[in-house]
Amino acid sequence: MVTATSLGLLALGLTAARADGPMPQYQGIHPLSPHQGAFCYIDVPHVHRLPPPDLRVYLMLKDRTNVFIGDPVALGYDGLKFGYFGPHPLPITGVPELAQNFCYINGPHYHAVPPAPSPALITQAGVTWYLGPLPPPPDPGRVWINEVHAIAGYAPPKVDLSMAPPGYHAFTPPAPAKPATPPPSPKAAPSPRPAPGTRPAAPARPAKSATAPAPGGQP
Amino acid sequence: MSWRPRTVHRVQVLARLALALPLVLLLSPLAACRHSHVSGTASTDAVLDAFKDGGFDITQMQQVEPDAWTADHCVSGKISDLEVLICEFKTEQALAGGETEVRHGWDAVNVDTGVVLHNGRTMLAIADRAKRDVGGRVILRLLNAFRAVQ
Repeated sequence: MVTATSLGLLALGLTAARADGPMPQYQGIHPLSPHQGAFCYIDVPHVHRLPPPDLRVYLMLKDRTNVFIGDPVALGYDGLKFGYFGPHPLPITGVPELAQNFCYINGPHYHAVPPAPSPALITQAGVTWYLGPLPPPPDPGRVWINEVHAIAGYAPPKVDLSMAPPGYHAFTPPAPAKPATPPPSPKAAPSPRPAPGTRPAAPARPAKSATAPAPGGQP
Repeated sequence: MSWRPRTVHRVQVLARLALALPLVLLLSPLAACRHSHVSGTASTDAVLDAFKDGGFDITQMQQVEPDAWTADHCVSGKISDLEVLICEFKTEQALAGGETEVRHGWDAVNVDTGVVLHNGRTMLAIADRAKRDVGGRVILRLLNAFRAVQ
């Protein structure tokens, strides 16, 4: 039997120099710093040496765990993907406090998770549209996600508002609260096209639900 | 059947036991330290078999002293240049303590990536200290194999 000090503790790196404090925690897949295309595919809670470089695409839980809520494909993910148009419910599996989470990305984008079964979610031609009521962002900064630039070569789902199913209400994001300076953005590679949602929000009707929170945030 | 008289045979057996007794006493502390597998949860052997079936080289994994993680049985070593620890726990409380110990270990050093996961009362901890698996794809394969163990 090998002793803990000779091998087991080595496995945990206890012989190395101490770090400054708790390591940044992540829940699920996420782009790796500095958000220039490298991606982490670990789908359970884990830690990394580096914190997120751009908090506009993360939510931070009470225990300071970072949860990625952006378009993974726009930041380098190349796994199974599902197309969406506009804001929609985005429950985060394994995170009870985000079971009622919403995605506030405007326009076409991707997620790595399929839409949850719901009569308010219509999928056509591989793109899902949310027809239900949309609660206002719990934090005005949530709409900053639409200012994040995709990596070079990203192609969002080929869909636009003219292809919306009957009854679809385009979401008009609220004006950003001041100070409008978002968290630091990584020096991402120039994008040939803006990130999903940087296109002008669909004109048309203001979302009625923007002022009327949906009960529980779910359709 | 022995050709010797039975009484002579007994004397020889007793003599051998007498000679062996000091050796047994000498080794007994080591025997006491040897921790056995825990019933009711996936064994480290089953986890290693799953890794092997998944195409991983597990030859560097060795049994280690489990007390540092409040565990009852542990194996540790390197798989695909990643540092791997697998432990069995008798209780949920001990498991939680073991996971906490692992996380504290990561807080104390700069691992590039660290993951701890449990399946029943069996814990898997993986640390990447040398950016061997930047995107975590190898780690994810190990996690999936671990989760599939019954």
